[in-house]
Amino acid sequence: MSRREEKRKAYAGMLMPDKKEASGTASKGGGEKICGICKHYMESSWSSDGRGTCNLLKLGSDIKSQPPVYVLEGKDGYPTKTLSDASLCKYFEKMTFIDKDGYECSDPIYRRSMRQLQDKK
Amino acid sequence: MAQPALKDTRVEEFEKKQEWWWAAEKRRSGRLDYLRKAIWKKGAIGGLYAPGVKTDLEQAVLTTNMAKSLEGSPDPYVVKSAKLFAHILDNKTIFITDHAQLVGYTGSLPNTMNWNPSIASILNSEVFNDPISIPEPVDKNQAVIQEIVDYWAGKTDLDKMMPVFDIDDLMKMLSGSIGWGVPLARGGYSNKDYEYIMTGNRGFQDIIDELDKKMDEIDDAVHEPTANKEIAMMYDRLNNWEAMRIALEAGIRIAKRYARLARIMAENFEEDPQRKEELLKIAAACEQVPAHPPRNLQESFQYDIFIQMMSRTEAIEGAWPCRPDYYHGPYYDKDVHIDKTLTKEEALDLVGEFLIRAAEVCQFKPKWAREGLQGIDGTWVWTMGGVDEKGKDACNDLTIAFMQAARLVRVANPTFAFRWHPQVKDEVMREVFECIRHGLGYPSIRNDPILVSNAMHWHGHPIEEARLWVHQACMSPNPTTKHGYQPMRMANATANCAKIIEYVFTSGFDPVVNMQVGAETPDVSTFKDFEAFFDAWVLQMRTIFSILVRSVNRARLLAPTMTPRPFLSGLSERCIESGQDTCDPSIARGNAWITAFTWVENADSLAAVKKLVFDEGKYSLAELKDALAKNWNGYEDMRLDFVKNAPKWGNDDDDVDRIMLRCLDACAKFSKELKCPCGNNWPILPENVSGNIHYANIVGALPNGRRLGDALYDGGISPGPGLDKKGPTAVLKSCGKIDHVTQGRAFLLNQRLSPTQLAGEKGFQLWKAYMRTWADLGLDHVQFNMVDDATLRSAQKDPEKYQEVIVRVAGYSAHFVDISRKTQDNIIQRTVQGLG
Repeated sequence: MSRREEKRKAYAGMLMPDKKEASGTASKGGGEKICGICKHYMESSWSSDGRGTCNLLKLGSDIKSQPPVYVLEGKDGYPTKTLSDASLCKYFEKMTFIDKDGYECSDPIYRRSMRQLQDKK
Repeated sequence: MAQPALKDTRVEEFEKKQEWWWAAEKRRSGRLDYLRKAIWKKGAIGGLYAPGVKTDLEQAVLTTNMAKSLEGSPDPYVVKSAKLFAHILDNKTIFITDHAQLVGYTGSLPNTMNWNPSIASILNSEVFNDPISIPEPVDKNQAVIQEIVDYWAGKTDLDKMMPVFDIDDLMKMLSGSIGWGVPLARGGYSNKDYEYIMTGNRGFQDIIDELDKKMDEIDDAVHEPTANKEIAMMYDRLNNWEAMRIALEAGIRIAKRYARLARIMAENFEEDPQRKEELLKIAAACEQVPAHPPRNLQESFQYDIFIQMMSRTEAIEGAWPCRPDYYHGPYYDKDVHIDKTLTKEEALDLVGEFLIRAAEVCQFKPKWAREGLQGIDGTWVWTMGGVDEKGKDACNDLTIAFMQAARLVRVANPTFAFRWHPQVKDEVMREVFECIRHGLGYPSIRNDPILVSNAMHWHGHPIEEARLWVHQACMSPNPTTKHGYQPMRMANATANCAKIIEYVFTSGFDPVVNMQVGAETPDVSTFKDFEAFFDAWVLQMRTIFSILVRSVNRARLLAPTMTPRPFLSGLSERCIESGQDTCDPSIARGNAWITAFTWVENADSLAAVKKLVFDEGKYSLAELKDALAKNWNGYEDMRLDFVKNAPKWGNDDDDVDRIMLRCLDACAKFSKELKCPCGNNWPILPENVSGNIHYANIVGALPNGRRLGDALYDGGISPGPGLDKKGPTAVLKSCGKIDHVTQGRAFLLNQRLSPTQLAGEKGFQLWKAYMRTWADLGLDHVQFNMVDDATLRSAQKDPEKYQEVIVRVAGYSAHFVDISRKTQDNIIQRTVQGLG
């Protein structure tokens, strides 16, 4: 497979919106285990379009496949989404919330990206 | 009819205390007071929309239902797009606000924001997930939204575009770390061919007649007994023309709906004879425009509002390029001075209402846009003053009326940018000054001779066209001419430039988005001298700019077929003539630029590294790299050294100023290597809007002493807040070392002035002296905040008492209480310059 094909396969999940993921949000009672409430999730800079990466899993991982594929080496994080189903992911760790509904980005000063950099190991 | 303001002796007291907003309330007419207070403020507060402001589902439902019905249609895509546009205009709810003389709104209710679900799935997700703006009943409407979102998943403009971009570039761009926006023809800033429609005195019917003629000619040609490549390409032209026609006819129809509504209200429901007459005038205006050219000031404004409303039905518009005093001025002159059908007060009411209509406009925007443009929907920067195509002063009585109306209605948006030139009369400059003195934060001042030369230098616009420039967004000039106007400025050619210097230390890896974004430059600790360090900076700059420009170029090339704009094309002479879509690069001259957010951090950081690492050998690069990676934790003394003991831009200090020029030279050189699909250059334009706050938590620690999370500098070539220690002349002198024609597209400069010092005639003279220095040094831009710290601190403490205080954020103004605390503090930190 060419490098372009590999990249395209790795990022495929990010290109198209997932219809299933439109059906709920973390704050509106969407699944118990979603990437968006995991400690390792790094949301994108835009913080509002539902895309991000995993800080622990690397590009090439796939937590939706059966069995999940875990790549722990490499530079680029595994691209995933806030609402991606993480129920199969053995590395899922629920983050500590500041407020109770998980939507804590109403003012840039509380932006998740800042907290996630401070928490990043 | 204008109702005179009640005479109130408190007006002078308020003005003495510089409580301009109370004075304006007393001064403006009863109509303007009502309309001003009826505005639903739609700019996001900090980042969220205000309670009560709701997403409008009507257009989304109309769009979706029509798209479903067109699925089996054999029509070409551009014709389907036009039919979809027409369906919305034919069926959307319309209303007329009490006491209004102008009509037309993007949503179906005054408190709603239009949502177009066909443009970007990522936007649709945000609509669904927004915690505040889903209309009641929330559960039911969320289900409606979900259905719409699900339908458009995979079908929006962005979904269609994404697979055809380079995957690496796309992911880097979508990370949001280095750019701001997505490259879409239907999501950006579109200028218009005002010379064709306004100077050319054309209504939609005139354009339709031209289209019909064109279509008949080509229809004959494609049926000649021959066949070749040219004939094969003519069919697309016919489709485009047909689509333009459909869109323009829909525009005529909706205006007639407004006319009918106004007549029904006048004849059946209105008892007040004065209001009845006004409603009948509205009806007459809507029967005239946009089908036919305007005949008076009311119709001229109405024509403009309709065009903006329709353009925002077709696309998400982030700006409002226009030159209202220039294009509407002849009608003002006719009504007030020649036909005398309007008194000056009546005309002022219309001008004020025109500002209010613009202030109300809102389309649902993604969160990053709201954070970058806190307090406003988009940058409606209206260009005033300047010269005509022959180079003569174009200021007129409407220029003055706009300044006066702005002080009465005190909307933060639209905001004005005044094209200064040496022949501007003192009375006009006085009006400009009064707006600034009244704390509006606008007009910003543009140096017209410099910017006309700039437009010629970078994009080859002939001088007569260059003189007709307007602000395409908040800063960049663009002519309103046949080949000069730019139909799409995609905001994602907006670089978060602080990442350039950050990536030198991380070898291009971005720790926020966990991705290799920049160039894989060598480990910074291996650089032996400043030249090696600077070379790495240049490579990161070239890499970041290239990623963004490639994306926009790609989208521009694909736009005519994948995301056409038949309505905008229908207003454009080059499209009517050629049958091409407005975004087709082959018929345009091009006017691209890279907005450079978070720019000055680079010069300050480079200067600090040069001095403290290489010149004085006080620290090693390895040490500095470690300190930045740890966000200066454990390195506070070192951090303070980098803050206090390294030269900072804005102090007329050659050490850092030369580095700034060197950075700009590197960019200018690269700007000429980068080419847009029209074959033209990509100059940079340092400015910020409120990107300095949006990116605060995304840019790591920097060698200028900044920590992660600190607000970045406030814009363009403005010095860092509080870092300009040598007074306003030093700031101007630093900025004056830049060549504002050849080293970039334009350069934003924020300055804060003392309202007390600039009171009265003495204040005006001081300000004029400052402006003379500014002009002599060849700067292209300056804008002012003139609100004191005490007022701003009081507004933070008791915001309900200071709802109307306006501040200049960066390329726009906003109500102080509508911006986040962090942005508020950043504005307060800006140095107050003492003049004289």
